[in-house]
Amino acid sequence: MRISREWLEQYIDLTGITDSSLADALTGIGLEVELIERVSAVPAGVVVGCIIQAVPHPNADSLRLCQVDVGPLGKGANLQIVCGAPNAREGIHVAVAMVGAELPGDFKIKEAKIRGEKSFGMMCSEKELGISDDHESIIELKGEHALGTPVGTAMGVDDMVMTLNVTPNRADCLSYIGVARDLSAKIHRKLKLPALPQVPDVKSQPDSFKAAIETESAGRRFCGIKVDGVKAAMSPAWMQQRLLAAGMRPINAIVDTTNYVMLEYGQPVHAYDERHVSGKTLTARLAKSGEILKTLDGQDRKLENGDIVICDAQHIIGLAGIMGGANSDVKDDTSAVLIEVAHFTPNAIRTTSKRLGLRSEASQRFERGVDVHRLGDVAWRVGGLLCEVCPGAKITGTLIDFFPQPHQEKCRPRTVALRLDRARKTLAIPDLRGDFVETTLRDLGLKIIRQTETEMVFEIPEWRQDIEREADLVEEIARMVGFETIPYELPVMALDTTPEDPGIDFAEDARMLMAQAGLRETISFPFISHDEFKKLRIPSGHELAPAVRIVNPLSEEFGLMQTTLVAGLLKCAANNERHGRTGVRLFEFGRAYLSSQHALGAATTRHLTERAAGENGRPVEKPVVAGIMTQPWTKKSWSGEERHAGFFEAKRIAWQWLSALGVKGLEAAPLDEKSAAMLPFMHPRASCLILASNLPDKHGKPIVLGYAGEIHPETAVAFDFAADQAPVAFEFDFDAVFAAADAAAAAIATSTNKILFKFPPSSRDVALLVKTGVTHDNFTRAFADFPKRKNLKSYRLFDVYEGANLPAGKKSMAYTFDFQSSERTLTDTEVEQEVTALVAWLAQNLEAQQR
Amino acid sequence: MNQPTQPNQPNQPNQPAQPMNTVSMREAAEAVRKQFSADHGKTAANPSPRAVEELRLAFLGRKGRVQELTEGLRHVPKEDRPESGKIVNSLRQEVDAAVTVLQESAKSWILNERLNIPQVDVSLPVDDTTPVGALHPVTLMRRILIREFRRLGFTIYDGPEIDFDFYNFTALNIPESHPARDMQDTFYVAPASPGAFSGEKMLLRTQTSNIQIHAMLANKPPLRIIAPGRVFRCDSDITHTPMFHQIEGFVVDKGITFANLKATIDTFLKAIYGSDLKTRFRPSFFPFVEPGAEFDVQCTICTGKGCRVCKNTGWLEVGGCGMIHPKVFEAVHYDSEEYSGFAFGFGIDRMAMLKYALPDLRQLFDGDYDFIGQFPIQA
Repeated sequence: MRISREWLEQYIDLTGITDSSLADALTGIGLEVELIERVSAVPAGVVVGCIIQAVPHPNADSLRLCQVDVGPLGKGANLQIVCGAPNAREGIHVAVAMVGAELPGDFKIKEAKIRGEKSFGMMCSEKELGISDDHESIIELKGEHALGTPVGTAMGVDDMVMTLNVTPNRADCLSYIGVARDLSAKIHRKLKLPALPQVPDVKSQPDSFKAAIETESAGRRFCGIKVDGVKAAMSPAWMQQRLLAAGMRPINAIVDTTNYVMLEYGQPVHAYDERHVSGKTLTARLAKSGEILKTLDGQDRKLENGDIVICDAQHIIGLAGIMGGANSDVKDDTSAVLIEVAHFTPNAIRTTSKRLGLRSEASQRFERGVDVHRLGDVAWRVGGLLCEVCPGAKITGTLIDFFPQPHQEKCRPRTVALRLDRARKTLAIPDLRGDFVETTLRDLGLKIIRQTETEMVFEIPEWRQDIEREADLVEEIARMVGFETIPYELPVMALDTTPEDPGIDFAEDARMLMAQAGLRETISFPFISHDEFKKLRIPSGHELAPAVRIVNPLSEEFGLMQTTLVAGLLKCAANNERHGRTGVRLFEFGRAYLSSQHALGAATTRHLTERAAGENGRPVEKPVVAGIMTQPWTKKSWSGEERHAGFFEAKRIAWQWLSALGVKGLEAAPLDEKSAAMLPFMHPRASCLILASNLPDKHGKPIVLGYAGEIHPETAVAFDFAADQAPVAFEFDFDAVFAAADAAAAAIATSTNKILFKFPPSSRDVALLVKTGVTHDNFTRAFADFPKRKNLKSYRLFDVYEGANLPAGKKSMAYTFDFQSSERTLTDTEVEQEVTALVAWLAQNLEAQQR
Repeated sequence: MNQPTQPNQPNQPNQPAQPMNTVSMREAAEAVRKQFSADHGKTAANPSPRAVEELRLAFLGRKGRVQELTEGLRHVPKEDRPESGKIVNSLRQEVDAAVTVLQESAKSWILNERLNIPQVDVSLPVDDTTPVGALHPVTLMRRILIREFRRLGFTIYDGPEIDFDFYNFTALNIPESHPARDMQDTFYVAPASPGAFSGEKMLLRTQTSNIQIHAMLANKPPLRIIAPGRVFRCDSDITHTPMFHQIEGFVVDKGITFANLKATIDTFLKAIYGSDLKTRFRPSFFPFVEPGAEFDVQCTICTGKGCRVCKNTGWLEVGGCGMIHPKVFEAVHYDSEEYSGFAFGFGIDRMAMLKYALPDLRQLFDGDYDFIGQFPIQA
């Protein structure tokens, strides 16, 4: 809402209040001043000048040739200006429009030659400057201001316009009177309401027209008034100026008056040309689907059930509260108008204006609710003001008022009780006075109707729909005492025993450790499209396919919620690649959303309360963490060649991170047919599932934490990578990681044999010849099952070799074994015996031959 | 590098040993001593561990010169053996002592060798095999917020991002007709099957305030909770993204006042922005608080003098707050006569933008590798 100070001063005396303290006061009571503009009623380039010499024009009796001093703007010379005004004489201070100034009516001042004499500017009347309708003579200024001063400043007609952010609960403050009323309660000055015309004797007046509302769901009250003798001429300058300051374009005296009163009272007003209202009736009713109205902007509007329309005896002539019809609009030759001042059902207006995309000043006010009790006053005000701005206009008949008893019943004012003690406690103002509360609330229009020792009961005016209960009254008091007067006191409370999910801290640590592993964190929008599912090679019916669908997405690209973070990371990595950033390593913590409860393991409920977890239909929100690394792994440098990232780089990062989190018993399982199908966007032969063997699932199998490996070349290509440049990636179910880390921590806490190895280990290197199909994992299991294992503490694979000097179908795998005892230093013999036994075991188990 | 000392060729084992006596033994020992003296001299000049070891092997090894003499004792007549033995023993001790000294020298030789290297070009760049990772500025900001609120005794709470409209709107006193519920503002979710949501609507939460409802329904006062998280709105332009981050905070107990709200927010803002900056509270409107307020902090750039960042107001808008509305308490079955509370919420992204002087919100979410790598992990 744009509020002009000049206009606001019609309703409240602001003498002695500076612009900035006015703005502060408004912001302080919740009418936030978002923007302050200085506007001048006088166009730029019109300055104070003094007529030094005025002589008759040599070639025209009615004109004078003046020399005008405009101070420094004249650059040492006087301006010669030809002037026809009778009062142009030596010594007076005048308003000079300099060459280049633009006056109202697109009148640009230029150098001119008038009857043979040059003229450099114009001395102006008030009408020429658009500040009044006086055009008899040029303006004579008092001479208090230096020559060259802008005339707006000199005349005191400059204005300040504030843009207020009116919160949606304050419909009443979408009006000058509403803002002035709030302000009056704050600064303790009286609210001045506009004078209304004398109300004629109702009984002696015949009805000038009829108004009605067909159903209550269309609205509650319909008032009207008829004004004859109006003219659609220009409205007076002061009205135009105020409308312009408020951001409305002046149109003609009739329309401007309706707009003016709307801004004044917050009540939209519509004027119908009486000639086009057949049967002299205005009826508000609900539209039927399929009806059509041409609105005054010339467009045909298709109506639907529930829209509110205004009809005359034959046609629809307006879309109530939103826009008038083209057929009944005020025209240039309109001479009599029917004024509609009504209450329409807010929700209906809102729905219709949204659907048609017609948000107007009027609809905005109807949506928030208008004051049903003030419609009569507003109608009189419109009538009175029309008579003022259209000479010769007069109100015909009296106020038409459709306000049946049942509607009135619904509009009875409510009462709200306030306990002064409660207000004092809530606001921590123990000395809040009852009489302060009473006068403040009275200034806001609340009437005290009952008062006891402990309680004050107020009647709430219709325009304050937002005040429903005690807390709302406390807010009114808080606004008016000023939030700044409420003290600062930290709460004194018992320690909070609300349980906190340990996973929250774990996640923060896990992010830090991921960064430590050399990846940078990214955050992307968790949306995915059908197209991206295709790129991931995820078919419908797949476990990752039941995505949560957005009904109203911003675009197709954002149509579904992600079921894996890999799509987002691939997009992000490809984007980086496009911008020349290679060797990118990114990770993201997020959620995978699945509309099915059965998808991808058990539903996760860490983040849900018991109640929420029990509600049907909730999608699964699984916390996941994923990473992506684009090629190359290392760029070529002085110390080494460029190296490609492959499966092992993904695995290394995964291992490093999981181990840092304390997860034990990590295993990598190659993708089998089932898991490869579950991860169709991963390379089937260079990817693995990552399992935690220390945490078996309910079938006794190690739980799956996630997967790591190379992106499927087809997926890589679909995301704009070259087939041989496929990135590597990993993704983990974060709840599973947390559970595995938790189990490992618990195992440490409960284990009784925490051995301190004080005696030195003894190491042996053994190379073993096996069939090429034998994996490290086979060895790991064999070592774990080694029946004669006594002192073998750890082992490390240090060489894998397949080559010319080995038999076909064989490879060599070489391990370093560490033997160590917690009791003594082992003898060579003991070690040799265990090695011999181990080699025999491997020969039996894996057909391994020692080389 | 010094050449290893070449020991003399030992006698061939199959060659019959010459019969010896004390005299010839003494001569032989003298010859060995002479040889050792010469070789020792060479080695001592440059006692590399290798040279010392070779010297030791040449004289004291199994096939060394001294060992050779010891073996020769077998051929010395019995009566000459004690004398000859002494000669050989004495020689062994001499050589042994000299070698031990050299072995010590060899240790210093290694240290010298390690130290006397050419100057390393320390300016050669570190290779990028393990690049430095980074946390996202929003994460960094959240860590700071969590830390500061924990100091004030707050508990962190998490909750669903996809939620029923009850938690996001109804229970927060946002009625059915409220504009915030419009499809233009809120992303709605389609049910997996007809009737799956039992007549309720499911949506992407538009605010972290849904956590107020979840937490209050699950717990009894006193409560002091913050809930950071992501929220969604149908908005996308230079200052809006369809997803962004908020943090919600609320306190419920007997006798909580607006003064408590002011002091809590003031304390935390000062902890984040510095104790010399003022805070300000302005009346505003949010359906789930009454009285409602917005809170500002003095512009961190110009400290209140007015600049481009604060649009010359001297203040930066931080968030919304207020006393929890009685209708919210009704929805979670708290007695608003017994308990009162306050709640607040603000955007984490905006705070991060302010902290790191970022011009464009969208930068936060486009994952530019260089952009996100530049924020240090610090307070």
